[in-house]
Amino acid sequence: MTAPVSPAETAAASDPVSTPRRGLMRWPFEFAFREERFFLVLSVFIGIFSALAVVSFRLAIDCSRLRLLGPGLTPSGLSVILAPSLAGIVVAILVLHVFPTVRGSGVNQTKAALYIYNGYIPLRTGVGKFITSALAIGAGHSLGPEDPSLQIGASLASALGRRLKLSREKLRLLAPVGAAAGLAAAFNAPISAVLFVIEEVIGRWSAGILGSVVLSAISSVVVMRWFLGSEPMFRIPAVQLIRPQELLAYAALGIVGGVAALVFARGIGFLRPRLKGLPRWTQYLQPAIAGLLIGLIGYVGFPQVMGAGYEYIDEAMRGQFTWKMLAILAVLKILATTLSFVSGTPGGMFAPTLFIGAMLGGAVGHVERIVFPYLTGSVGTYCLVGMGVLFAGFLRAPMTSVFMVLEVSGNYSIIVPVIVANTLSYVVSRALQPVPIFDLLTRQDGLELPSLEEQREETILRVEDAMHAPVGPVLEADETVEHANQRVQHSSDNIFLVRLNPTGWTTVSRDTLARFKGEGKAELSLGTALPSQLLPCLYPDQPLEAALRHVHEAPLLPVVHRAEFSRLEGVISEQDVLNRYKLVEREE
Amino acid sequence: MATAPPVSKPTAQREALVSLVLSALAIAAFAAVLGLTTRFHSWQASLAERMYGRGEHDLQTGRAAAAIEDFRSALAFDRDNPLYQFRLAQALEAEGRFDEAESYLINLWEHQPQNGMVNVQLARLAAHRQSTNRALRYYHNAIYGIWDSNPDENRRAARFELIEFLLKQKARTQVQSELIAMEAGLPSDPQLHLKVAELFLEIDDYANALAQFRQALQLDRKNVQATAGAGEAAFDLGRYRTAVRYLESAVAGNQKDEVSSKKLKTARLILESNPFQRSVSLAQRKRRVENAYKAASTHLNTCMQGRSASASPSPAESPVEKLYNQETTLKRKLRGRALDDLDFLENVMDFVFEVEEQTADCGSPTALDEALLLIGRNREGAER
Repeated sequence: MTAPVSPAETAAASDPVSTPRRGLMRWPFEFAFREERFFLVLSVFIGIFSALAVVSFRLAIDCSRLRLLGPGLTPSGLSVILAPSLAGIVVAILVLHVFPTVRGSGVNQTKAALYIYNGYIPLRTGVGKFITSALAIGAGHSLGPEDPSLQIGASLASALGRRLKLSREKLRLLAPVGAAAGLAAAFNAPISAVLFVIEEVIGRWSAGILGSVVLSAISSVVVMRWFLGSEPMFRIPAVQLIRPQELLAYAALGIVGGVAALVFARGIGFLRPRLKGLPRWTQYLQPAIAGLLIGLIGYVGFPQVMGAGYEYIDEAMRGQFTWKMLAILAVLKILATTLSFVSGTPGGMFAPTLFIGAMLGGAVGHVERIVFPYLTGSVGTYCLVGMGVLFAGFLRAPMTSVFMVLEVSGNYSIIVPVIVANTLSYVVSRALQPVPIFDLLTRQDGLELPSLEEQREETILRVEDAMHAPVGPVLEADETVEHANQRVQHSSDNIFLVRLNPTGWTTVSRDTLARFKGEGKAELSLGTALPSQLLPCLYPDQPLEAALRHVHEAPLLPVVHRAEFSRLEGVISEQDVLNRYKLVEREE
Repeated sequence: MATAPPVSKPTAQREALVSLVLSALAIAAFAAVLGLTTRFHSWQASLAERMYGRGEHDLQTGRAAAAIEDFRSALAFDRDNPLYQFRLAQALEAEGRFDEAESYLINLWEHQPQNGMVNVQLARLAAHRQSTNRALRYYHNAIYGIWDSNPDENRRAARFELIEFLLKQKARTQVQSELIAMEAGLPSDPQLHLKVAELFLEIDDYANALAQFRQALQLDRKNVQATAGAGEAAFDLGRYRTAVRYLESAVAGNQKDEVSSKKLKTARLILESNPFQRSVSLAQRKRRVENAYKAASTHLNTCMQGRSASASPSPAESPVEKLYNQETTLKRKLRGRALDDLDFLENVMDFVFEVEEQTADCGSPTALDEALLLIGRNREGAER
């Protein structure tokens, strides 16, 4: 990345006295290496434990649903109203008195643990999330199990790290490792889990943690599949994009999905702080009232909106709802999920997002097929694309949304429509709602956490933005001190770059040249007269931050061509870098 | 909120120990979750069976809508169960929700493309949608597919269904092919031979029909239905002696069988009236020709009277009018000429047959008229 050989390294390498010190210095490196290796092993264990916890969580949700709403796929009778209402009261008491940190989905809390609390998530949070989410989702609250699974995995990982007394740095990294494992197990989708954790939890691309996150996600999925099977979540008929014009139909779905995501996000963003601002006693009732309203929706004929709703997504994909029913379900699910979420009921937004997307996709697909009968895509295909569309628009995780669709369906032939629709949905949503939902929730909670979307929008400054052409002459290694002295006479600069042979650069000052001449070295070549210390070289495309690390090493650094180190593209100094940053500040 | 944990100095031994402890914990947790999932899955399986049982009951009592909910609930617990999917598809079909039914069936078919039951169900859906090619494909898949029980019977039933479908489509050649394919593998069951024979009759393949009726009779000599069918097939083939023999047995076995009685009378009349029979004497032949001529002449006159009363006069001479004019000439010839000339007898009979053919739909033909019409249509057969 930087210099072929730095002056310090050259000095150290030529220092014969340094050998015993190297032995002493090696110990921390070996230590670090061992901890690194152990961290990878630990990631696998975290994956296993998270998967076991998530499998138990899934069983708990199913069990609570069967007990509270009965074994019928479509719950009926008074239990539809009573179960979510009474569960709401119990959940409220638990959240307010026993597990105060389990409100919400769990994604932001995990991110906050990573950036604010050094990766510390109490095990109690995980246990509380397990109990309250299982009860709420099982009773019919319109929430999903994925985000809580993410937090359960993260809290397990954090607890394990603390128990093993890992370093603060490693402990901080464990939370996303556990989060990825939890999400992967809940979603049966390791790639999406890894991407989501990078996009939404870590909030930046970090190669250092990628290996551990992947390992934990994979081991988690392997264990989960051992218990719950490896079938994809949804099965859709084979997709064939016969006419490229059909992409327009998917593009239309992308736009509709972007608008729906906006409505959903605005609803939550508007209601959540208002309900949170109500007196504390109302918080005992909020989940119950939300449950009552959702129960009423179920009671009047739309029980599909209750719970996570995966069974109904599958049914929608089989074309078992009319377009009107699909549209109604999409609208009601937005309402039900908003109610559940803003009331502070613990539970995730993944499943509802997929549900709304599937119903919306199915409805749009149906209508498009009525208007344009030549369209060949099945309703199932539109449902699937719709899921990705809302995921991209609402959760604002475009990469995850694409891979999520591919993974949950096991169907890679759908990739082109998914990319088209998701991109449009993301663009529409971002244009109309600049702050993504997770960032919005974080800010409402009074926190400021890094976001990948912000990073994407940030202007990246590069070395080429700050460098300038050399003012004085560039000296060559084979020219004599006398000749060099003559060349620099007419220059106003005091420091000059010297091109060494075969490659490499160094600097020489006007005073040094004069001193060499005074010492009788006028006929020596610069290469012989100057000490063999090389300057670090920079490349024009490197981020400006990279230059910052080196500009203090010399008053002037060469910026060279990547394919030809002896070709000078420009020079950069500490002042140049600072000036560029100041300019950006002024522009902003 | 959090306090920074003290930095550890893990050693190789400590790492190994920690790994061992974690492995032991993982195994213990694994076993615990395995116990939980096993219990939960068996509970789910029992619930699925309960819901399936309810669905079966609902379906049998004609409550298809309730059955759909039950089967769906059963599938929520065991979503890959092909039986639940199949029964759900049937319930959906019973409710007229063909698209949904097809979706489940297609899913089943993708997993088991040779499953006979699934193919038959898909074929029925295709037949309902008048999609002949798809119906044919699925029916053939079912006929050559895999059946869990009674494969021969099920394959035969599928072929019978296909034949019924093809008959509705009036695809007689395809029906004939299917029947010929089927007759080769029929077991020794007179009812099956009878059914196939009747289907052959339906597509006017009298020879194969007669062969199948005979097969049925070989297995059950007293089968009146087969006897009547054989008589009918022989009659339609123009093999009147054979027909008489079978029809006599049929009428004797079931005196209420009016169709066979009528055909028997006609067959007998044909045998009695046919002047071309080899065994008849010249005198008999002459008498038969005279009787035939008289009957044809009467039928022609009745027909002409009826026409002149009802029809508007047309400038062109109709075939019946032409025959009427010929009849006048022929009558004169007959008066002045003996019927010893065999060629002349042939000419008279040609005239008779032509009259019966042209007046078949005219007036009320007598039994002899009908017999003469059939003799004319099948001269060679009438001799047998």
